Amino acid sequence: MKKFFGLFLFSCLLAASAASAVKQEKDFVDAGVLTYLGTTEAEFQAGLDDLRKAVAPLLPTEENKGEWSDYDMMEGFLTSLVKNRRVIHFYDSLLSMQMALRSGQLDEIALPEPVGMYLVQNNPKYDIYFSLNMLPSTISFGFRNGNESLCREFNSAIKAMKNDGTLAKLRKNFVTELGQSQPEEIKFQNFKNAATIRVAVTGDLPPIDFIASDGKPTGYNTAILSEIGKRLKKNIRLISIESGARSSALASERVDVVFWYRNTGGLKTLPKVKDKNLRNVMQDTATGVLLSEPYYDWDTDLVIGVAN
Amino acid sequence: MSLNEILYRILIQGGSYLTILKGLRATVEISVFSLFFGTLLGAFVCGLRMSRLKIFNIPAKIYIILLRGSPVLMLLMLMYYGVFARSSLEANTIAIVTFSLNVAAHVAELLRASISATDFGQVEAARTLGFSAFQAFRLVTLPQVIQIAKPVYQSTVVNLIQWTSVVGYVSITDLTRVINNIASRTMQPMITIIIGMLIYLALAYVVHGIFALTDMISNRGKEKEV
Repeated sequence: MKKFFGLFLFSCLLAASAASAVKQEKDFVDAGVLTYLGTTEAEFQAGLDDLRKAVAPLLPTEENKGEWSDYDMMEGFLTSLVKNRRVIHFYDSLLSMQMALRSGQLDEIALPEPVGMYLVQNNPKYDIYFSLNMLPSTISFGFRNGNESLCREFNSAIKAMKNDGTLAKLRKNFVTELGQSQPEEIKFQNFKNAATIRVAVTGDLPPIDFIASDGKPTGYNTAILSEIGKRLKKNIRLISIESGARSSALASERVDVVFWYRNTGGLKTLPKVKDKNLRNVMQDTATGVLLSEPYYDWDTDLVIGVAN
Repeated sequence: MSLNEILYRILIQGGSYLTILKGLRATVEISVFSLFFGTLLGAFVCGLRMSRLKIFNIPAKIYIILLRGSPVLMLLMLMYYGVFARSSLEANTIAIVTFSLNVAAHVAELLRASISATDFGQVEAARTLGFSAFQAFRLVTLPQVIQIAKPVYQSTVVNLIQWTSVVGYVSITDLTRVINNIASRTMQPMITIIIGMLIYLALAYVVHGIFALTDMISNRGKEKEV
């Protein structure tokens, strides 16, 4: 019996090693993307394939490169996209995506610029392959459908913060000039007899949604919330939760607010692509949730891979 | 970045080890309470299940099938976001209730299997010698049941500790959640997760040690009798 079992294990190992040896040079690139909540993996893939077809004859040449905005930035990625098809894989968490990249299941991952910078700065095993400024994205607060009053209050606070430069200041302190240091601790003001707004934090999108080493949420999102609490004169309670449980928490009224990260603009900066459907195909429309004004936006994603 | 530096960032920087200990405490707390209440409830369900009356044994059967056959995460989500969504119970309490219900089903089955494995003839012999039904159970059946059930019970305990790793879904910061947070913060998931696994492994060994200790104590008692 023991011999049988040993033989079985041995043959399994042999088969596995043979399979990996047979694996040929593939003609596509496995790419990881953080899950777009408003679209499916197949739709995203179809959109990217259409784009690839549309872009192939349009690739900038020496003569017409003036017609392309951000020629230098785009050329690398578009040429690479036309050469190698991207097979898209959605990942619910940055951690699993990063591990897939490390183990070679993925060849590259696309991340929002601040998150990508944080990854590269904190783990020298990774490098930026391309920067992609065609998928403008935003982060907003998400509310339960029907909770318009809270959404309006948040919107007015966000607008005021935009106008008086608070957003820009916090963005500078907590994202762009953060570097390798940890975001500082954030204090919340306490209002007696005021309502409490419960907000779900996950810590899965550093340095924006971030949980510090003392276990306390901090980072850009938390700084914004502290400021909003001050302006609305309401208490904010942060509830640390697994990102997969956010929608359940919101729907069952365990929390009132979640962070909502999405792609908003489709393929905005591809002027040569005339087909409007094509340009909107990767747009991530929110369903079943009420979104506030965005309080963070960027139009650059970083494509990151293992450093050579 | 050297390994030492990475380990420093994962374990020490900014009091990280205290956060890990807090997470460990949450895991142990939920496990211990769930085990206690789950075992009591399990013994009760086992009693119902072994009853000859259908009104007792059919509900017990259904309970065991439902709870053993469904993933504990689903049950936890259902309890926290459904059944107790409007209550002011703490997340910890709800997690303990859920895990107790789940463990009870497993304990009920393992007790039933252990009781069936004992020889009923011994109880009959005891009864003819004038033992009451309770005495026969306490002095003849129970000691054997404990011996038979022990190894399976030990693995149930270890399983329970591992099942509790899903409580992050109901806003409890347990060991798994702390490990995930650290992995996100340091962007070093591989090393961080290996450290997390080692801590769970250590917990399993502590359980193993406790069971070995009880074995030693009961063996010593036997030697004295001889």
